[in-house]
Amino acid sequence: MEPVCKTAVCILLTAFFCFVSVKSVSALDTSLEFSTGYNDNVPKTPDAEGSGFWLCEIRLLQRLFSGSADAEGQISAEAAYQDYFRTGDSYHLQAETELAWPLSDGRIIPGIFSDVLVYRDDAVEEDERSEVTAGGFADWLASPYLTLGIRQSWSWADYRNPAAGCGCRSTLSGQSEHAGGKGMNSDHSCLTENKNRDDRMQTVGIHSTFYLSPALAAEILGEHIRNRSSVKTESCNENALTASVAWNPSEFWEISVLGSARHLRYEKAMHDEDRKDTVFHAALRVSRFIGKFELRVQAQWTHNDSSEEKEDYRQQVMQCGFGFSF
Amino acid sequence: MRIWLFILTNLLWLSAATVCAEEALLGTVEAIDRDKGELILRVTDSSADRGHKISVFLDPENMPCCIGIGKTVRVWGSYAKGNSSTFQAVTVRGNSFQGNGHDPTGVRCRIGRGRGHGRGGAGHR
Repeated sequence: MEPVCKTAVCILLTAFFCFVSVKSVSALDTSLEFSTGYNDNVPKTPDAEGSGFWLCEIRLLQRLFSGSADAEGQISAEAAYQDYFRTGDSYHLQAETELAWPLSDGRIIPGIFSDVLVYRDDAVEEDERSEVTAGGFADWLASPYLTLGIRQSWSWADYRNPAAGCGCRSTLSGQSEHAGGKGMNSDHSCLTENKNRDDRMQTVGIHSTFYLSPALAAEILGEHIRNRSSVKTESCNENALTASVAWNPSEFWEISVLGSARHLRYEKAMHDEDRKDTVFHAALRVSRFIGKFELRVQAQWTHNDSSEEKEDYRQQVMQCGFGFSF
Repeated sequence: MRIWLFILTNLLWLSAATVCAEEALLGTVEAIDRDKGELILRVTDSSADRGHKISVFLDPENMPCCIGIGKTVRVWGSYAKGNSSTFQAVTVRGNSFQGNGHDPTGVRCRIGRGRGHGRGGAGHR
């Protein structure tokens, strides 16, 4: 077993036993998920190369101030390990805290949140990073059917390994959000810049959530994201629009649908001084609940239409799995 | 792409068909009896009942664990005939903050937005 795999398994097992022991003394919401699937374009390149994978995730949620009318809050943690059969494995650990102080009979909810992420990837070391996010939000429960909200956050991502400044990417090398060519070419033939990457990201978002019926809720989210990176080819401005629907036709079924469009404008590109990407994403998840178990099937489709030809890609991910909440 | 649009459009139509005529209220929980499945709710939305206290009845098994005194909830159901102070609820929901973090529908958490932490398939936000 590879070192990163051993570490991830140890962390997941340790976390699991800690969670189970903590669970016995407090009201902690815990969910455990296993899934397997196929990704038809793992490296997100024009020449798609697919691989099967399996995925294990643990999520924890502890609500705070449940007996208080003046404050609300929660602490959540998540650990996920994903192994691609053809390329290697990756994992992430994430912890998040949210605190809110309802005002005006609970109809206005301002709050703050913070988030810590550790991402490690055995195959794409350029993506490995530690990230800290902090921000604030305010929601207005405008009516029984509608909530409006605004959110502002600041993120700092410290990448562990030097980034390749060129936009080249080898097959099955990988890419992450705002990457647009960060993946390092395996033969280093186009490596023109090799420097530590340090990103600072500002996000401002507004959302409308519609509670159309007890079984149906929909959200529209608009965001503007400004990313400033020490690697010039990663600095960009992004506008994103996301729409999602959660539908529970019965207590046993849940259908989640999401569609998003993102337009990214990069400050600098290796081969095109005015690089623009438009990313379309759609996802569908169908869940069947049997007691505390959840059986699920999920499909995702992504298409990046870039002004740089080698950044164009299409990706489809199909997966199925089961979860257990306790 | 076309097949995805077809599926999503049909799902939207199907889900829209489930929009029912049940009434919705927004209110603050003043008292709660989980055994009886009863809430005393002070209506806080902009309806004519704003400020009124009503009794809300719900199947005790469907009472959410995350609600408590002073919390704001959304209630779906209908008033008892001839009695504007009694409401028979089908569903009681905590406000958007409770349960899913700052992800009111929970969909972004469950299936992400095409921005995994890495290569796809896992990761959220």
